Amino acid sequence: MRCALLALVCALIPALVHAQPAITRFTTATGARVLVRPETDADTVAICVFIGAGVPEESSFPSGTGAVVARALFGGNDNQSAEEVNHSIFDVGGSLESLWKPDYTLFTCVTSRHAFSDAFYLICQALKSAKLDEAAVARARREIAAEAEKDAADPFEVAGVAVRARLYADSPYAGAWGGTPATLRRVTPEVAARFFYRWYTPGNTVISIAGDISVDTVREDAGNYLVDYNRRDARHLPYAPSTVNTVDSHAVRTLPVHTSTLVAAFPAPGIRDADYPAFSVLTALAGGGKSARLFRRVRDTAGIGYVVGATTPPLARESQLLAFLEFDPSRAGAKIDSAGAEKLVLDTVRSIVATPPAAREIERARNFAIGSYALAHQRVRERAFYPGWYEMIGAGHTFDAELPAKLAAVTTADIQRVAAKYLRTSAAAIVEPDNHGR
Amino acid sequence: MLSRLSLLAAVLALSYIARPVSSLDAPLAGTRLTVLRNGVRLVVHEKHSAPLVAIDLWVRAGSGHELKGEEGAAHFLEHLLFKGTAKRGPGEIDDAFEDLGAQLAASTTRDGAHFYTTVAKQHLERALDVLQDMARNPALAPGEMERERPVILDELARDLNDWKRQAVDSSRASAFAGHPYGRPVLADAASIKTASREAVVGFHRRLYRPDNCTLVLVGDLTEETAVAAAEKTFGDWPRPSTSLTEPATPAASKPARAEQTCGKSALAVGFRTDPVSDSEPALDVLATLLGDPRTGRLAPKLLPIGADVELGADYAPLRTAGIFAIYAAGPPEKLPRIAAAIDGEIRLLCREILSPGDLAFAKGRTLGGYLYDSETCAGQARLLGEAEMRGSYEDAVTYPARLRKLTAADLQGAAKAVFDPDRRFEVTLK
Repeated sequence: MRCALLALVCALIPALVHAQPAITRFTTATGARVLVRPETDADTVAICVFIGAGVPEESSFPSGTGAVVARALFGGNDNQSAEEVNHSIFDVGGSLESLWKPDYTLFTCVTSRHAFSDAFYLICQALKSAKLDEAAVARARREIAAEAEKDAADPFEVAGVAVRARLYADSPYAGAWGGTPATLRRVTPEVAARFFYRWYTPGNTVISIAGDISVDTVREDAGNYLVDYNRRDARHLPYAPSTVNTVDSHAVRTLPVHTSTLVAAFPAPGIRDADYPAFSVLTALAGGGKSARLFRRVRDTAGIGYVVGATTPPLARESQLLAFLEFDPSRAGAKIDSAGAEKLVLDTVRSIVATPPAAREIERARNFAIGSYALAHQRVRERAFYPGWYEMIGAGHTFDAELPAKLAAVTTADIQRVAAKYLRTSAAAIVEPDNHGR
Repeated sequence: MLSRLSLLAAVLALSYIARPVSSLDAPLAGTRLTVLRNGVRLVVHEKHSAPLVAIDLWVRAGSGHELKGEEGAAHFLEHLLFKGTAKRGPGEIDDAFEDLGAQLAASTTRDGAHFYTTVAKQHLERALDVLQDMARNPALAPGEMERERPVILDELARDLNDWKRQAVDSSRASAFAGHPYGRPVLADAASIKTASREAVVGFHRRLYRPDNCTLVLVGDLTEETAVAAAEKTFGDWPRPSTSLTEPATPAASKPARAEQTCGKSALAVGFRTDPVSDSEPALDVLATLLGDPRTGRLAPKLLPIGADVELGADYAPLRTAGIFAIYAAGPPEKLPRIAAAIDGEIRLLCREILSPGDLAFAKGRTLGGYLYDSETCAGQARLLGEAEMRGSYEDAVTYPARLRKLTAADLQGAAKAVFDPDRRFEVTLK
């Protein structure tokens, strides 16, 4: 069995590293880290620019400031007006995207080798001198507020916010990510500019490029375009592990929907924690795929729920295992109510402690975790994203290539250890129909 | 707070239109069709960028094929195929795939059922063997059917939360009244509760046959390997002596207005179209022009009506008909203004020739969506299989070339043809 698993890893690792030259890492004169992975058979080139500006960096700013800055960044810069920037975006394929996450801010572009330098120039200009004027900031606030309104109507989002707030007493990840309407109103152009100049600094920047590009081209362009990206780096707040609430907690919300959505959360390690690989396999065991315990026991056996499973969002610091279930509570002859559903899901996840998995079950979970990871590297953008992300959060860019082997090395004892360590406390939230949705 | 990855699509826009030819110009070029002796159609595209193979089995057994008394059978059967065969117990099919580091998923549309996975290339034959077993020999055990019935009811309840899904189903009901295309794929709660095993068995026996299947393989394999593997696993599936019958074409549509109850106030304005044809790229570009929430022409027109208006548009080709529709959600008192804005933009597109810049931009974004979808093996397999269900896999192969050739005059002609008042329908959801 172990030989078969190693064979699987050996088969899948080339899919991950694409059988291509290794990643070249260099640092610009002013301290930005650059990763380049040339792929001779790729047709496109992906640029991922990470800024270490997530939730913790908003501690002295209104919540949502980071998201507004990310969204408003390409509204113009010292050399180009907003209209010129828009035109340039289209010329390089119209794909410059910004994404704000709890651990980082990300700008991505996928383009061709021929348009690479233009795209890279555009991004570098924004990093150095974005003009966060009233129009750009107002548009960003409006778009983010509209998305927040949609999230507030999404039962999974509502339940997720509720459990995050309950699981950790003092986590920076607690609460709504991206601000609320009230906090977003306080993000003025001046506030946005302060955030931008504080955190958009070379030492806080990782640029990861993969695809149809050469190291020499990237080195030359980075040298030309980032020579004056030289702001002083700000200090990040020191990381202190959040305190896990030691008592199970429970919350109920209602929305105008037709189904009940349950999310049950357990503490989980962050990516940089030595327990991360073992916990990834545990997550697969609990709720990854249709052979996992949640699917088998809740849907297959009890016949409850179309959507059921578990995931652990990969975060730099502590995370949560989120076990989820969506079901119709009004079905005639329904076998379960909210309390029953919560107990079933919690008991199923905790059965990993009470009824330790056999070797066969762990092997499937390992295979599932490794296979899923390989499949998440099929796009050139993904092959740029993962090394850059790991480099940004301090795990090192080689973590991307190393993780499958770490997953393959997870043992039964590892699973039992992390299960006993992390599955003790839970926080659950259920969003029920308010009957106006019916 | 995610930006939509779909905008990555436009990536490949202008910068590819004038470049030297590469695989990006025609990602599916070189796709080959082989028909096995028993009628299984094997579509193969070689893609050697990673040691993976996407496996897609398409069966022309969608909800549009359901006869009276079989309402919901297509989708119910899709669920039950996972529940064991003559030689594999419930759960063993999923175990088999997940042991390979893969997952088998499925979906049902009006035109077909689709079973798909991506595996490391050395597992191709093992995966095909399990797939053919579940397609040919499902146990369809009564106990499993009863266990799955409430799960499907939960799926139906979940769909009620999705206003766009409700708008799509309502538009089909309006456009294809009296035809199975007009029903939701899942059918309704009453049909699910009363669906009989006999109906599901009959549906399977009638439509799950080798000459009604297309197997699409995309990835790190050669055509020879693919044919050999398909012959070995699917080749002994006997072909029935009875002939296949195609479902009836929907009757010609008449202008229609309807109101439906939904959890959210929304509007669908649409037009019946002819079956998929050369005009498909033009209609996709029109959908981009009208319905892209960030760059489309409707978005700025709807902003003064309210920032709480959501928008989308698409062209949905089916085997024997099609629908072009624009969907918008907003407060009920704003729906008439939204409908007027939609009609206004449609009239403009019929009247005016697009500027070269606008045409290039819309074509670029549409092409970018296709190229994004075709970046992975699974995406390529899906594009090929969907096209095959509608008529021919070659439509997916030639799509980028047909899109690139579109002129502003072509687009105006397509607009005039599709936005025919005699084919218009409007559904209000409240």
